[in-house]
Amino acid sequence: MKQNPYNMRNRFQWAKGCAAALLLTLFLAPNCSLQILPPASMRFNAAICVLDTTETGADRTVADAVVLLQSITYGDRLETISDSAGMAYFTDILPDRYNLLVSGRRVSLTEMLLINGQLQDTALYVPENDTLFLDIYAQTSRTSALLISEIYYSGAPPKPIPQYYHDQFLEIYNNSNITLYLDSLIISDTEAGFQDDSLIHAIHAYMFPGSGSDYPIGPGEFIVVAQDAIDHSQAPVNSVNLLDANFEYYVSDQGDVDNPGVPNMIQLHHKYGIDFLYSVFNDALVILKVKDPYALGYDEFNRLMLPKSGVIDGVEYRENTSQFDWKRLDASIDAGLAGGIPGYSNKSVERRIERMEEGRFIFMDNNNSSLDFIILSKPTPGFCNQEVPQ
Amino acid sequence: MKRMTFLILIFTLCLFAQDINNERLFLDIDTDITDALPGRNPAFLHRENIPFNYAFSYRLRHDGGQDRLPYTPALKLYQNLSATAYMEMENGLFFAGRFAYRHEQRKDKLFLHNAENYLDMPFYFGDSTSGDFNLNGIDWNLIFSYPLSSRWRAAADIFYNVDEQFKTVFPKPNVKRNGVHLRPALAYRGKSLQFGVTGSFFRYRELMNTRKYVLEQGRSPIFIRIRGLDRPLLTYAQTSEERLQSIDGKGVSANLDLGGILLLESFYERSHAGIVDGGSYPEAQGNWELDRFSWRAALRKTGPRSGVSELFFEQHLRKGSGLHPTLDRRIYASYYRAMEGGISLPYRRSPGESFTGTVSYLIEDYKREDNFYGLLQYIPAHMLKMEFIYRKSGKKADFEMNLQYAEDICIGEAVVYTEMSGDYYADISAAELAYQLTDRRQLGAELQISIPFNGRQLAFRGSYINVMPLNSDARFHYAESGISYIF
Repeated sequence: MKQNPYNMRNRFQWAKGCAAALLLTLFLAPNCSLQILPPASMRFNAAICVLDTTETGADRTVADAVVLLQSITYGDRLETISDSAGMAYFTDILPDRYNLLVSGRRVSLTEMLLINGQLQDTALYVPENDTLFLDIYAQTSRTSALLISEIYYSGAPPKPIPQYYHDQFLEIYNNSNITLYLDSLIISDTEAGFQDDSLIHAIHAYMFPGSGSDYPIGPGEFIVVAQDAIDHSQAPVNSVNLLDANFEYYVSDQGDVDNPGVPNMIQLHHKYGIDFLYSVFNDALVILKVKDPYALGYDEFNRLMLPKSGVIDGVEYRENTSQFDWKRLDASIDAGLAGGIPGYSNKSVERRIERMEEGRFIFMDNNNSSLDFIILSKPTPGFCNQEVPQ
Repeated sequence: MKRMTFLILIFTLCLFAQDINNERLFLDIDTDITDALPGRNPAFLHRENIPFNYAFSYRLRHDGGQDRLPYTPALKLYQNLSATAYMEMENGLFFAGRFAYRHEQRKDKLFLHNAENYLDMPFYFGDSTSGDFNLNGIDWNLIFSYPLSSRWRAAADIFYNVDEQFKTVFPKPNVKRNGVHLRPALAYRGKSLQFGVTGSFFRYRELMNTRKYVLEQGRSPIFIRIRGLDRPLLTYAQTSEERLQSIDGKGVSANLDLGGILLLESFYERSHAGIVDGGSYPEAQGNWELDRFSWRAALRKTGPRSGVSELFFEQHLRKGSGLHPTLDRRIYASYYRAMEGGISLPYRRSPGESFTGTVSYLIEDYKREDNFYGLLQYIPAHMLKMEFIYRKSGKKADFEMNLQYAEDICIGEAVVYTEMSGDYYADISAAELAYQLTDRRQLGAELQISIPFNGRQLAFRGSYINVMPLNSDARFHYAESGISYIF
């Protein structure tokens, strides 16, 4: 049978097309010998050297310091102790922005110095699963005899009264073995933005009454300063009973509640508000002693300026303890952050007990609230329910 | 009647054609004005291949069921109302325009505020609240096709859409989107050769707002910044309540027809999404990049009696990567690859009646890597697909019926994944993995009828696909119906 030339040409083109398609397929087909293995993680190791800025040579390294890595994104806390060479090692950590806190002690024959350092919001990452080497510089400070032992700032749950914060209190403890006096001691808050300033910029400042020896605080004694020294445990608030508070804030021209049976703190400066309200989210409170609270005057925004050199103790707290930006206190007063509790949760922060000594608590004082404070599910004004570590 | 037969043929081609660059990736909108053109190249728009002059269409889509991915809504209702026109001007300029309004409802959509999943994209903004989404949008599509010579044509295809999506459940996300897509094109039509090249430039923007919220309000909001495979990277507490996502991309596609015997198409696209937070607590966000490449080759043989038989092969590659917001490193990578080959054989019983059977085999694999945690998911799959089309053109009406069957073929290829624990792994990743590991069978039917009406034409279309997992009674369906009034 005679072949139709049209069909012949068609068949030839068909074969050509087939060959072209086959070639393209071979060229572009996926590689079948692909290795299906998990990729390497970006985890890495970190070696952190703790250095004391006040020493030189081999004495610069700080042994037995607590080194804390706080992940900003995930909230993870990694803690370790520096070795005799001042090195702290972390393994398999994830790349992230971290807050790095260091707290140690240097003990000599004559004194004990606290060593604190911090690196805030620092991106830690090395490629190729390598080890990151980092130096952290710490500065020295001294322990305090008087401590802020508990702050209840969060306020009562918003049921049924929304945003109830008149039950706030601050507790002071004598951590020493001698009697001290509260007379003319100042409690103030501090404005953010002045971390590196030598002055506290106080929005509120209140002073204990007394002429020098009127209000003693014995070793192991608590003093409670209430916002309003009334019983907040009654319905509908269902919070704490502060009838037994030792002092209270009273703002006479703002319609504040006054318990005549409880001495009032002396108002040095009160920029705004119906009371000395501690922020339920973030704030810093200090106790300090100065000769003349008005000696340095006010800043341009009507905040009382007080010298940081007079600070005895200070605590900074935040709802999110991973966020170290815009910190209010420097490492010499508080290198860390207490808190991590939501507003209006009826929870407080209390200093950890380090040990017992002669029947009294010795609270931890590293000048680092991230290490020194714990969260209490229920405030304990004037007492402490913590278990003593063995 | 010739016109009607041609129209039906065009519709059938739309359905049957394996358009390689027709994946609705960034917007779930059908821009079907160019679907029937070779390679979707707008420069092929000319007198001989316009399906009609004017048409008004209504389409209703109803997707839903229990067998679905964790992000897929339990029910998606999609209504589209469009007006389309094709016109030839005196100087040979061809104009096509389409204006459409669409309304979407999505029920029980979890975890995401975004309406679309943005395939393979690791960045999401979401929470665990359930809720229903509503969307209203309009879009325009204009094409100008101009003859450069008797064989060359140039064209510009402009697409623009605006829509707004909202959810009534806390935190009440509101998403405003707009997009522009420009496609310049060039086409050559010779006696035994035709080819075309189409460029593609687009920008889709999405501005999302939510109520400001914090964890303490007793809700469970999560701001998922970067979604890894198993453990999303999360930022708790206050979230940013504003986010702008901008997807920019460009691409090129080419098509070649050698005497109706060898047909080649290829498509490449590269897109980049930049994400910026606004609001009270802006967070540095990662970016993602996506590459898509496809090609298709078909050998056709036209028999004088049987019709067009075809041997085809096509390949798709989609490759994505996510970049860390601050570390300048790739932390996420994924790819999807697919190869499909098949044969289509027609049988013409009479001039107006034909049968076409198609059998094809699909091999695909899907790989996702979390470089941050060192995790892997690798899911290969095989599928056998069969299709049967019956067409009949009568004096008064045209009729077409399409039956589809597809089944996953388990050939024992190793699925690889890293097992984890945790709420998000259990709720999202594990559920997603279980879905991917399940073999399914699909059964579909489609019917198209075109009848004369008042001197015009009415075209009806209905389709139903039922997806049936082999190991459970859960089902998922895709149902669609539409009507067009054609001038």
